Amino acid sequence: MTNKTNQFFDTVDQIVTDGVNKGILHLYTEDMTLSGNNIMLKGRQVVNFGSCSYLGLEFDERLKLAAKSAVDDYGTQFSESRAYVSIRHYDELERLLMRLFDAHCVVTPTTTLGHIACLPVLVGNADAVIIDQQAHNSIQTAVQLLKARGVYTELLRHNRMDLLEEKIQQLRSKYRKIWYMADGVYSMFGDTSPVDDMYALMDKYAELHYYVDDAHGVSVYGLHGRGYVLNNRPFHPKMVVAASMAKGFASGGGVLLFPNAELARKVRTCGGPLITSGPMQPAALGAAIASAKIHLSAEMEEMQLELQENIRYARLLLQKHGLPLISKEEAAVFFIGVSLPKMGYNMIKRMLNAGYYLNLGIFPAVPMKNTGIRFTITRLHTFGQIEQMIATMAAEFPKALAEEGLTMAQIYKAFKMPLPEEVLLDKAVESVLAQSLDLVVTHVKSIHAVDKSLWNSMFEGRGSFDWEGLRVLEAAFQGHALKENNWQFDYLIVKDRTGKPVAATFATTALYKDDMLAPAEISAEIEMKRHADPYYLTSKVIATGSLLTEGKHFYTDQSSPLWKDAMQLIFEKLGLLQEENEASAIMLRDFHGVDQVMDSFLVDNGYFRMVMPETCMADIAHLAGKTDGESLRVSLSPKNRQSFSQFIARHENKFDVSIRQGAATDEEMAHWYQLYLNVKNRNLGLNTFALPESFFEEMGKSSAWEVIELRVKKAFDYESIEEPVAVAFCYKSGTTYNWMLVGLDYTYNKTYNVYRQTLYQVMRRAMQIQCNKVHLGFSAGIEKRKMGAIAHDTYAYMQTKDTFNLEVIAAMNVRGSAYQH
Amino acid sequence: MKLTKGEYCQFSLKSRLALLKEFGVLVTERYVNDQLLRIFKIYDFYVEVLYDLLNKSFLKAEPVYSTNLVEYYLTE
Repeated sequence: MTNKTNQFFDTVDQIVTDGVNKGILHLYTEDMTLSGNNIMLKGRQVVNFGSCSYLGLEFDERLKLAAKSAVDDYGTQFSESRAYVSIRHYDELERLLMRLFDAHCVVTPTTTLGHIACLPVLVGNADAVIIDQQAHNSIQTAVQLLKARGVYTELLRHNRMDLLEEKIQQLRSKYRKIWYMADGVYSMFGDTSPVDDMYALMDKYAELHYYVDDAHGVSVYGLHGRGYVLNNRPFHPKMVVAASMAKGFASGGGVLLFPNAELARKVRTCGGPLITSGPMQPAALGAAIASAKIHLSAEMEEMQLELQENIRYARLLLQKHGLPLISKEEAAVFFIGVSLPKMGYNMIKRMLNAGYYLNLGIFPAVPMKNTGIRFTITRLHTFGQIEQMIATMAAEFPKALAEEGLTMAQIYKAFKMPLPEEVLLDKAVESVLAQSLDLVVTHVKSIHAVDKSLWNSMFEGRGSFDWEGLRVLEAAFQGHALKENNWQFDYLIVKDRTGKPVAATFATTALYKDDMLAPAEISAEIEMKRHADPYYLTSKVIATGSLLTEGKHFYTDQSSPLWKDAMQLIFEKLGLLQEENEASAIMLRDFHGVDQVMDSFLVDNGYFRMVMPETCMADIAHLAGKTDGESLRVSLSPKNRQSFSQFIARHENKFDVSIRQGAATDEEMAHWYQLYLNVKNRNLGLNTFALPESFFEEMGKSSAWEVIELRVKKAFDYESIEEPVAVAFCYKSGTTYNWMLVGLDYTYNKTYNVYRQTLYQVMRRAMQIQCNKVHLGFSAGIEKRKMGAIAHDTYAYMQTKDTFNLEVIAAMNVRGSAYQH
Repeated sequence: MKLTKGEYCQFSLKSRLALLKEFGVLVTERYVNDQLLRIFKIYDFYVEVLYDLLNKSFLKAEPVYSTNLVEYYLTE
């Protein structure tokens, strides 16, 4: 045993000394002062990518002032055991930390001392300990104290929950409690403990307890920076968390978190270092209090977001450069595998020479053949620093490989990872197999060629694009003299081998105004030019959905393992259709919110996300069948009820409302069309071509469409208008009512709030015909929200032919590079 | 390393502006009522930045999807 211990230290000594001799370990900063992430090492300014102060709070004036103030008040130290007296700062800090973590806590001078204080009290002699092989050295050190007491301990292969469960089953009859010990975020590879799986196992096995060190998760994740383990999770009653205040917190110190006050009291009372060792000193306590206050403030979320964006950027660039990143998780710790120590020394030295300080991840922190470049990203790094550091690493990596006689394949093999090319090939093979074996794409150019019940099973209730809605559109948008009124329709359905649809959509190719989403003022200016040239700044676009439909135009059965392959087939087909129809862009509409899985899938396929105007929907299932306005009013919030009474109920008696279905006379149709144009021409926020009159004629022939007409009653019609002052064009699909268009005579709009009245009548009609949901469409979100609707962030994904951009830039005079504001 | 439009759009508005600040080139700008509209070239595409002068806040930083519109901004 003695020999083995000596051998271990001999090896550590050899490796560390080698690193010291090579000038990459045991370094000292040479700066007189520090204020950011630049440090001077061996006479050279370098960017520090080794700091664990993830939020950069060490330079925050509030922390610095609090530390100075505590020293002014209490001196440089208060040298008494906490068993006797603690300075008042401890009390304030522990109260703040209880709020921050929503748990019972004990502050310790360091996290390591926290483990040493906690574990001997927590773990009884009748308990068993299973420790993850990569758990931090400080836990392993504390576990030695348990071993000395004869506590059963066993090492578990990293993160292997299946093996843990086997162990639990073997040990549960022999031991009172089984403690699994792990890190929340692992300090070397930056991967994480499978916390959800652990919660499930703890719920399943009464004997299982979880002791987890979340030093690298605290501040980075969760509400108030509670950490990775407590991010969006309640505190499990069989869990104890050790956290650090010497990383993101930026003050120094450790904190133990307990599920109940009794356990916290016991550790506070009996924990060795808490009885016999010195306390945290005033400066660190003062800084910790200031940091805790920042963590509890609204500022914290913004800081975390900034850090996450830096992490995301670094991860993206590493991927794009094809560097062997070991963990795929979104932690602030990164580990680039280099396999052998010689390659690690080589790379660290190269990076240092290029102006970047990174850590060497080497034995004993990692196995000998799993050496790597370990670096951290903090909130203080700029995108430029990250970009340059990673670009340098990518440039130096092949040179170091060649110098050390290694290959990329050897590195991936050392980490038991497939080469990126192999992963791509596997994916391609899987995709080809899946497609060739299981998926069939059907492409037709008319809804008449699609089975009505099949289409409606996918799209009914989503908007005005069920089978009947599309039949009307097809009839309306063909055979016109004006090219903007002729749309091409394409229907794509991908089915699996059982005939079940996995993905489907329809696309229209039409002429779009390029300023469709530009500021209204720009559109107004461009419209002036269109008087002379109606097709100025217009392009043909192929879009899922159409200019006259709103809603989720993509059907995907995400329970199918082939849904991504099915989508891929649709994208390929859309690409072909883009060429065939000579469209300049492909637009995929309308996605509500950002579905991360879909989002990254679309980005991988060359699309970019763009913001559309928000869209409003009202859930009225609770009002179905009721016809009175009062039911709607009482369902609103108190503030909106007031608005309802003031602007809507007060004028309701001034209108005659009629529901029109079926054909209208030519005069009526002409009037409706004019009312529609009145609104359209005022609203340039979403600038499109005017719809053709034929659309309104086709609509009149369909039983799914109806028109709500509002006339001002004679007694109130002082302008003697007589004709309708508002029309709402609505489409019923299943139990969803869709308000697609509005037409207004603005004469009475201010005095009688005609627009609001129309909105109300749409809601009433939907209630009357027992719809569960009303789609209220884009724009006028404030008014719609007042009527109980919810606004949804809406996105489209675009893919454009961009080569023209480069030609434009070549021809233009670049006026400057200054970024202002 | 160049980002694609899709990758650029993965970032928050604040980060998109930071990326423009570090890697973008201001191509043109114009005042549109109470808004300042700027076009930047970054990587291989253009970004339209809209700044609300009254509220002193950025409204958007989105890739310009239409090549014709880029040309319009550059020539008008």
